[in-house]
Parts: sequence; C-alpha cells; structure tokens
Amino acid sequence: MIKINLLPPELRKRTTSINPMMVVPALEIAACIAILLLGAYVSYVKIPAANAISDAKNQELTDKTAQAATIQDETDKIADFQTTQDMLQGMLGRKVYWAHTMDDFVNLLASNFPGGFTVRCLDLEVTPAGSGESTSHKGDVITYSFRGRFQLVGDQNGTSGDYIRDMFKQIGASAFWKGNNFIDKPERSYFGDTPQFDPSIGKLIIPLDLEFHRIHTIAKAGG
Amino acid sequence: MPMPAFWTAMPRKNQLMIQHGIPAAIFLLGLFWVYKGLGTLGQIDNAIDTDNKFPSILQRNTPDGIWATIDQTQTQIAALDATIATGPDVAKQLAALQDDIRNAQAQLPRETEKAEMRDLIERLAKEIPKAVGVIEIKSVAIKDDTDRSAGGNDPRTLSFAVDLVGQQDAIIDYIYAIERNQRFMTVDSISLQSGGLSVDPVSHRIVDGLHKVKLNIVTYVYNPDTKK
Repeated sequence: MIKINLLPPELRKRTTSINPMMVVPALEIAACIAILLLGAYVSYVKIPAANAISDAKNQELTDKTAQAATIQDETDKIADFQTTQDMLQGMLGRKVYWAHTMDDFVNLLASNFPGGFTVRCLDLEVTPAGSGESTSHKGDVITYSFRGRFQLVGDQNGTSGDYIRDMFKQIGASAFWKGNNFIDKPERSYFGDTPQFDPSIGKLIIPLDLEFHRIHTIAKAGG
Repeated sequence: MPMPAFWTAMPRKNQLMIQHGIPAAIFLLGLFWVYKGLGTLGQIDNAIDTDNKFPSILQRNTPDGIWATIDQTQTQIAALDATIATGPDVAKQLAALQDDIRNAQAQLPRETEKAEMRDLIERLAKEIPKAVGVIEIKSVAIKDDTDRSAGGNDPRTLSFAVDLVGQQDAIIDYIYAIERNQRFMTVDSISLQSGGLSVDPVSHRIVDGLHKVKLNIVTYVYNPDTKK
C-alpha cells in the first residue's frame, strides 16, 4: 500500500524540530564565544604563565651567571698561574749564576801558578755579550763576556813567554774554566803583551787584557 | 517573543546583514586578538613547560615572542651550566695549586713593591756577616722597563743598578744572596774595579783595598691585574 500525503507542504508535519533559520546564528554565536574564550585563555592564562617562566628563567640566568663568574674567576686564576709558572720556568731557565763563578775565579787567582808568578785582576767586566744591554741569544744559549784587565807579576825577567803559557794552561785546567761553561780556549783573546821589568821592586810585570766567553744553555720549561 | 517594531519594519536584506555581520565582526576581532596573543606567546618549548597541553597547531613561532626569549635565556643557561659543571674540578685544582701560586707570587715583585725590592737589595748586603768581609751599598738606582709592559707574555723588567764597595768574599756572598733569594733576581752584569793593595800603618801588614763594584740586578714585575 502506498501512502500519499496530500497536504500542502506548509501544513505537512515537520520531521525535525530544529529551525534552520536558527542554526546559523547559533553557530555564529558559538564561534564567537569559542574565539573569545581562546583569546582569553591565551591572554590571561598562557601569556602570564609564559611571563612567569620567563621571569624564573631570568632569575636562574642571573644566579647562574654569578655562579659561573666565580668559577670563571677561579679558572682565570689557574690560567694566570700557569702563565706565571711558565714565565718563571722560562726565567729560571735563562738565569745565570755568578757567585760560584766569581768564587772559582778568585780561587784561580789565589792558586799557585807553576812558575812562581802571581796573577792579579785589576778590573773586571761581566756583561751579556753583544749589545751589552740585554742578553744575546744564539739558539738556545746565552753568551756572557767575562773581560778583565790582568797583571801577571813574576820574579824572573825574560821568562814572560813561560809565564804566559803556564798561566793559560792553569786557567784552562781550572775549575773556573771547566765548571762554568767557558768556551774556546783561555788564550783566544790574547794578542800579545808588553812585559815591563820594574827594577824598584825587582819584578817583571806583564799587563794583559783578556776576554773569556761563558755560555749558558737555556733550560726548557718543564724539562 | 515579539520583535521590536524597527526590526520588523527593516527590510529583510538589512536584517540578514545585521544578523550575520555583527557575529562575523566579533569573530574577526576575536581572531585578531587570538592571533596577536599567539604571536606574543610564541612557540612553547615542551621541554621547559612539561605540563603544556596547548596544541602546537595553534602556536605561532615568532622571533620576538615570550617563548623565543625564554629559549634564548635557556641557551645561555645551558652554556653557564657547562661552566658550572666544571666548578668542583676547578675548585679542587685551584686548592691544590694554592701553595704553588703563593710561591710563584712570592718570587716576583708587584708593581707596588719597588721600594720593598730596593730595601731587600740593601738589607741583603747588611746581612753579610762582618767576619766574611766588609760590604757597603753606595747607591741603588731603579730602571723601570716600561716599554715592555705593552704586550706579549714577557713580564716587565725592573733593573736595579747597585753601586757598592766591599771585600771580595763579602761581594761574592752578596751576589750569592741575591741569586738565591726567594724573590727572582738575576745579576745581569758586574763591573769590578780592584781596590788595590795598601800597607796598614799600625800593623804594617799588606791589606786589600775595598773593590768598587757596579751590579745590574734584574727582576720582573708581576702584575696579573693588568693582563686582562
């Protein structure tokens, strides 16, 4: 059986109670409320929360900056110390000691020279070799000039050659020469002499200007 | 509910415009507000805000957002954390070096200790026992090598030109005292003029005259504060 509704459309019974004319405004209002709620959530919940986190992080940054500065300060102290230590090692490596050398020199002059003569040092100049202002470096060594004006005083006239030879031999064999890194030979700077016999004291006097060179090997830091 | 008279009198087209236009305007304003707010907020870092439930699809990654600032701060904190993590080791290392540091500092005079150094140089001469020999400081001149303070790792040198007279053993002892002192000092040059010999009028014995000596003593100024 087929049922046919013969009522005009406006009188037919509605299958739904929702009025389409009301749905759209309702959706529009819902959308407005939703967007306003989202805006409120972002503005009054998320942004203040983010600001709070930001403040906390800034405070943490301030605290940690201070903490790290202390550690950095300590690290700098260690680095400064290492620099100072390296510097000191370098300076100690370059340091030349003269007291022992001078003592050996004095002992040499006071020693008995084989021919019975004596050697006196009238003046002495110890300087860094070269410019005379600062130490000169030749690779890993520093050279010092040990220059003196000497007087060789003997009893016998006419034996100056023997005196000179014996003096250089004794200097070369001495602890002063061997123990203090003097280089070449003692007579390296000897270019002759003019002996004078002083009849008033009965002595032969030979003035000599001599220059010796002492080298100092620079010790490597940490070596 | 009856509608007001002006509404019913209004043409249908105008009614529709108002009916949909006002919600649309409110929605657009709300959308702008949300858009601005999300821009201010920025992309939330879930590693920092672990409780965050705000969907990432709604977030905006803006370079000047609050969260961008937080991320930058966090990066700085992470760098500081790396430094702070070395703290215990550094403290331990520094504690172990304290004696060495004191020792090293004691070896080099400070900028302000020139007068003390000069005093030390004179005092060391006075401390030579009379039994060893006579020694007397005549003058001490300080030469400050300020040219070398400008750069490099080399320390600034400080030279003391010392004029003295004395007997040979006392002079040697004095040089020894200078060289072995805890303060770093080195004798850079020596100029010695023999004092000659004379006869003591009382005992009629030959006595050595006092030698005239010029020493150039070099030390180095330690100024850690000026290195920075």
